[in-house]
Amino acid sequence: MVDFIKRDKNDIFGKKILGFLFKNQKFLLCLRVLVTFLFFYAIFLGFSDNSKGNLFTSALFWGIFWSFFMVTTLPTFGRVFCSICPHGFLGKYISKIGLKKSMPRWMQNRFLGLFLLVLGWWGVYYVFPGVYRTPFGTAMLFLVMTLLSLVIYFLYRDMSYCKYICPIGTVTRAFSKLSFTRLGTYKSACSECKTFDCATACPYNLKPFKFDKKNSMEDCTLCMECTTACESVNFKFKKPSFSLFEKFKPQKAEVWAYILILASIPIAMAFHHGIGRSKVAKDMIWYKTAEIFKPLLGNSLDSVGLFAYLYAMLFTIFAATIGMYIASKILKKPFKELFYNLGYSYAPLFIFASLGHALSGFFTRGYEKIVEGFAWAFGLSVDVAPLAKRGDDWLMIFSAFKWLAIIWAVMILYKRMKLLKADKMRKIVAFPFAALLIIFYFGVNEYREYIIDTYGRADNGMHSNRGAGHTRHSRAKGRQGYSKSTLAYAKPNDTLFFTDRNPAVGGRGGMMGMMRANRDSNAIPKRSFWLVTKKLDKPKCVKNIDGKFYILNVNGELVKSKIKSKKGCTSITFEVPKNGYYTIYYIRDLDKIVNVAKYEYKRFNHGSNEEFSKDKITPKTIKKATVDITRLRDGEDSFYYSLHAGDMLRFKVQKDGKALQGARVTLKTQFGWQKSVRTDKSGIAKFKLIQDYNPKWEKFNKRFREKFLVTAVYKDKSDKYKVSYTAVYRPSREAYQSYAYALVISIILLIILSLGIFIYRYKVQKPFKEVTFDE
Amino acid sequence: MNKIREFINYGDLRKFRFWLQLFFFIIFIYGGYMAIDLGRNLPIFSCGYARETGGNCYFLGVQHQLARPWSRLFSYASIGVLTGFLTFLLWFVVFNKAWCGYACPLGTIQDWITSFRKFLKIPYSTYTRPQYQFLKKIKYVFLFIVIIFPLMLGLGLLDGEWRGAFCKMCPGRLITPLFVGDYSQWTLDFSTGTALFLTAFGMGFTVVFFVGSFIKKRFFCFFCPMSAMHYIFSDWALLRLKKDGDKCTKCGDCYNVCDMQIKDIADDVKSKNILRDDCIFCMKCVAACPEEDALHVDIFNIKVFTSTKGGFAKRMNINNKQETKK
Amino acid sequence: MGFAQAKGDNKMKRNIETPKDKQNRHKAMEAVAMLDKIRHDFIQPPKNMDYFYDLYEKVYCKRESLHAKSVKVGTMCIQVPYEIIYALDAVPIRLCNGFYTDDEIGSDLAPSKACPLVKATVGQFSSNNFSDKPDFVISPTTCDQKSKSGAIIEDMGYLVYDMEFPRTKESEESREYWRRSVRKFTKELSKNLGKKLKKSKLKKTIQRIGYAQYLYHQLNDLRKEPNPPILGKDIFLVTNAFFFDKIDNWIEATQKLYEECKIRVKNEDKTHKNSPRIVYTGSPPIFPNLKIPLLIEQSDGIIVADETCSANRLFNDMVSIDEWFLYDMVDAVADRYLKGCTCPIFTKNNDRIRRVIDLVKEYKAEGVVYQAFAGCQVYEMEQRSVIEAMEKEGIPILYLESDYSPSHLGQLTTRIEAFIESLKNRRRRR
Repeated sequence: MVDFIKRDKNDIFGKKILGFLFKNQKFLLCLRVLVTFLFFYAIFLGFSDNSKGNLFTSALFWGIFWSFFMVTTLPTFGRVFCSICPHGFLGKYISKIGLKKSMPRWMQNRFLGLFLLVLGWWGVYYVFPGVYRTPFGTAMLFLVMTLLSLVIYFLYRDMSYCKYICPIGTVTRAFSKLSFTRLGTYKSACSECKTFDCATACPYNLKPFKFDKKNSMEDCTLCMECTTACESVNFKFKKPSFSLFEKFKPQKAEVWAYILILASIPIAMAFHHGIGRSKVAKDMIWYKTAEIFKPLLGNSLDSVGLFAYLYAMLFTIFAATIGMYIASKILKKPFKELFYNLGYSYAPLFIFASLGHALSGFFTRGYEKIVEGFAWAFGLSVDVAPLAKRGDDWLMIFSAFKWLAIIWAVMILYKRMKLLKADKMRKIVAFPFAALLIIFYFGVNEYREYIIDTYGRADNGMHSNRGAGHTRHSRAKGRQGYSKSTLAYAKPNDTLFFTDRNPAVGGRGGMMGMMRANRDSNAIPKRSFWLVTKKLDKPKCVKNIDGKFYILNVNGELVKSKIKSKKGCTSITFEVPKNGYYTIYYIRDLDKIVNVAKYEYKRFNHGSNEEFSKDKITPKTIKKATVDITRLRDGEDSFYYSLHAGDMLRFKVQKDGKALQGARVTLKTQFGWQKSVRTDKSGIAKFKLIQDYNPKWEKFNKRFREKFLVTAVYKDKSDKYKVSYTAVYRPSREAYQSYAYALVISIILLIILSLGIFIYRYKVQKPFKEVTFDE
Repeated sequence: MNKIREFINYGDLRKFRFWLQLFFFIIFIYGGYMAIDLGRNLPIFSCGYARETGGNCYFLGVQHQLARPWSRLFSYASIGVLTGFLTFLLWFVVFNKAWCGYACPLGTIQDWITSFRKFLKIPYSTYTRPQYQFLKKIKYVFLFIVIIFPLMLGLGLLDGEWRGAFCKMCPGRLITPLFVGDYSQWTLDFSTGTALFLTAFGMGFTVVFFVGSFIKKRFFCFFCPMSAMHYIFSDWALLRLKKDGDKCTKCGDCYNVCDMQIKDIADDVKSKNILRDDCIFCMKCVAACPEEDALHVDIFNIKVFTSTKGGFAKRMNINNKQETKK
Repeated sequence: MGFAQAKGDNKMKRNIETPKDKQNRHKAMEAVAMLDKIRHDFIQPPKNMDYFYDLYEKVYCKRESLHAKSVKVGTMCIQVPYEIIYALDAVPIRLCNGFYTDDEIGSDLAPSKACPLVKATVGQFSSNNFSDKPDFVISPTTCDQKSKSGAIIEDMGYLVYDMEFPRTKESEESREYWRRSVRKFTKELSKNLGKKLKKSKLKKTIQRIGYAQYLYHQLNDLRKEPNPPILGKDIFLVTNAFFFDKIDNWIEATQKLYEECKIRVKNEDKTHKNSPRIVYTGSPPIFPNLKIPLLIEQSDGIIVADETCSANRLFNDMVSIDEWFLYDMVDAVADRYLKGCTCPIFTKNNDRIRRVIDLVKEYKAEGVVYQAFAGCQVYEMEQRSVIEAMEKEGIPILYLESDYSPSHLGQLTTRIEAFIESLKNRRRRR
């Protein structure tokens, strides 16, 4: 026993706040008393009020204790939950006055607790959904468990209940292997120890001084009794799941805990709740099996749930054992040794995924439930809003936990593989087989997403266990009403042009034009354009479509398109698979007048890594357009190019493929500026895009897209031709960027810095100022 | 085999490095003219804002990729993010941090500025240990900006002006285009407060870059988030810098020539893998080590370049020729 | 020979022998006795060793001056940068002394239990008996005895410059302290000598000394051979000569010696094939106090490597320079004398232990002889930790305490012979 020890940097007991939380016995006692009180109070309330109004019982048991608190602490600090568990707390005192018998051999079996959990809880959960959900059921369950535990504590010594009977004892022991803390002792002090105070103090009859050497904390529940007995006991921060990277004596029950829990929770849930809620749920094997057995089992139990659970078990155990068996053959190792050594790599699969689930659940439901439950229990009335809404974007981060779990598992497997003594090549070959369960888990996750994505969710939950709580709120997309005034009849002399936003939809709804391929990157993106007329800034849909649409792709070929009309607004939609310019034509050949509307849409996707080539951006034309206007590409040399104010544009007007002289070309901007010129000999009209977007400095938007419309009108003896071309341009960089300021500032900065360094070097010499004191 | 080994170990690293750096500089700055395109996932500051690069810095792409809305980011659509990252890793894994010391154009520019300083016979500066400990953390702040800011953008916590925030702050954006005569990045953007801050920061950082790298060897590399990113994955790299602590006399020669003031290179006699987060893998330390095999560069545990007494003597120009002249 | 000459003179003129003459006679006797043993007790020393034998005879018996025209800067310890002294056109003379005669003289001035090396150095100053008398004395504040002896010497009227030296070398502060100390020393010395330190000159001397170091390393590498071409006692002579010899001559002679040894390795002389290989560490053997190396090799051991400041440590760390300017060169030179130094005066013991273990492995040695001067506290203090470390590594080690007096020779011989015998037994058992 030592009274003082210099603590390492990573020792939690050496930290101020954390040290207090984990070591201060008075604080721990208060905390345990409080938890015990809450525990029994919740049981009491469960019996006294079994109505829906009882918010507290289920909030405490199912909101905090199980799942949320356990799942968040286990892979981080370890078995903190056991540390404050009311059973253990009471058990410690009861054992002291109890009979102190040693537990019979047959009961000293860690599988007892595990099966109690897997069958007694999860089995019942799937077969008789909702049994434990009521406050009464909950209270009953915990009362029974409490009585059972107290009896066993009284009979047997060394807290045997926690070790063997407690349904979550083995599970917490198993998953705490992932934690980044380790209770241990300082070797320097322990090497000369003859009193072994830590071991005497331990109610579990463990030997803390051996924890480091064994690389296992065994059944330690972090009750911290030993820390008061001897200062040499430490509680250290380590790398996450550090203990799995080294050798230790494997426990069969722990590996089975990983596998069975994985089967009972994520896999069975994915089957029953994930795929089970899709439209194709009826095609699944467990559903079909359940159909066969339904007459036998009757309606009182959820036979679909039962078989989903059974199949989950079957597949999981099969994947684990067969994979390991093949790996053991490849590595030429006994199956059991390999299985129980490498099986530890399954540890993160459940706990991390479940951590993500628990956290997102806490933000969407848990927080609200807990706060309101506690308030209700103590006679207050509080109404809080959940911290997040389902479907909030940032909750997506929790779905990343699943992938983290898989990566983590593979990493542990790799590290544990490394510990094995075997041929390197064999190890590489055996690796995927040893990882079969991890791959299976990955596959189930992918499969579920695939099913839901392709077939969609069933309108009504296929199963009935949770009811209303689970119907998904479809995110209401803001649907603005169509205003009637957006339609116009296009007279022969009207200018027709295209726009990329639906004029009928006001505000941001117009973004519909930039329809996103939802979640599926493989789908070819599509774009829609609307044929409009009248004013450029307030266009109106053309009612009378009496011409034809043509779409040219990047290479100038005609492609298919879809013409839709919604409430009188006509749009054309087409696929844009590649980077480059797509040309849209609308050609209307009336009696005396030919209208051509033209739009050039440039698609550019950063990610697609496409090769740039000039011909993808050259202007295209078709013969059907008797008169055509093209914007000549000057200096346009990449997909990044866009038009800016100040650019000089050249338009070429052609008739039947020949340059047209004397056509009147007008450029009109969104803000009303306009200019007309006549085309020269080669059919070219030149314009300079002016900057007429001049808002105040704070409101300036450098990505402002100002529209402009170019129309060319030409009359020959019989006919009149009218061509339009719309495009957008952005403010010129000079409008908001300044070279002059930059230059001045950088030169001033340069001088100041150089001067500063010069002065520092030649004037200031400050020897030996490394140490300063705080006055 | 032994002859080749001797040739390498006795080689003049300084010259070799100079020419290799020049070669890579031309490839990465002017590669576009020669139709060289090594993709957009290079682990060096070959800036995508310069038009004719022979391959782009990974950060430009990754910042844009990660800035996608989260619903898209955490879906199949992000396979592109993954492949981009894997290509980056593939490039990186081969040469480890030697990218910094041999290929990074920004690093090369700093080395040239250092040569210029040497030409003016002005002594270099060093940081004191506390300064060093503080400054070396900054690169992780930048890495945070590179990785987390786009994610926040995707969440909608930051507005679009923060797109590619690090690039706007990075001196590489202003400096590398200069070599193809493009000074268009040298502007302050007054359109929004954020844009003004970012461009002004970039501008200021560039000035600091020039002044700093003039008086401090490899000034910028202390702050380089790419260096931090490298370090995270350096354990998987093939090329490794190793040390045999038993043979080390702690004479500090390696520390003396180290551009990055890495103390461990001389003082740590326990670790085998001596690559630290600031390291630029220039291998000057190996060249400056007078002990046989104390420092060596390995690929697959095969020594490629190792410190030798003879090589040291040759590089330090230690020979008996002066005697005859006298 | 010197002895005989002195005798002859006496007969002729019947002059009364002055104390100085007497000292010289005694010292010459010591030198001759040692040289004779080194020269004649062993089979076939390399031919090029003759240069060194003659050099010692010239300096210690005939008392010829080597550096008559140059400014001589005496250095009290290994830590004074040779490079800078040479670059300032002066000649460094290491004042560490191995003469029993001087030791006895020094006993009057220093405590009798002090280190014989320090006593001998002080004694030499008090008798003012030099073949090359130093014009300046640089006294680095290394161990207590050396630091204090600087003051004693100053009292005798010599120009002594105390060069501050830190006792730790791990911290950045102490390193910077030493660099500043060296910078200050450089300024001071150049002021005193009236010479400006020139970049080109310093570069040349760094390379020159670097070459000397390199040569020594090459020569040393030959000792790794199963059959070393040269014995430890000869190497000690060679390295000892670096204390006072003209550097160009030394390099030339060592070069020749190296060439010869290379040929010897090629021809595979089988003189010492079966001798146990020994690493020698501890207090520096300085001519003529080479009795322990001599005893080892007379008892059929062979010293294949050593870790002492009169040999290995003198040449160990070569200076590497990034930018060939004064600011970098002076600092790099300063670092060489501090960072790699394995002197026991530093607070930590492990650097020397590491070095000894590495030497044992590199030179395939079978045992270590650790010698400490009686009175050298730091070596005596470190002894325990070194022995423990060697036991851990399974390397046999013999710890000896000795001084300059010839009185304990019998006991030392017995112990060394027993140790070497045990090494042979060990080998046989394998």
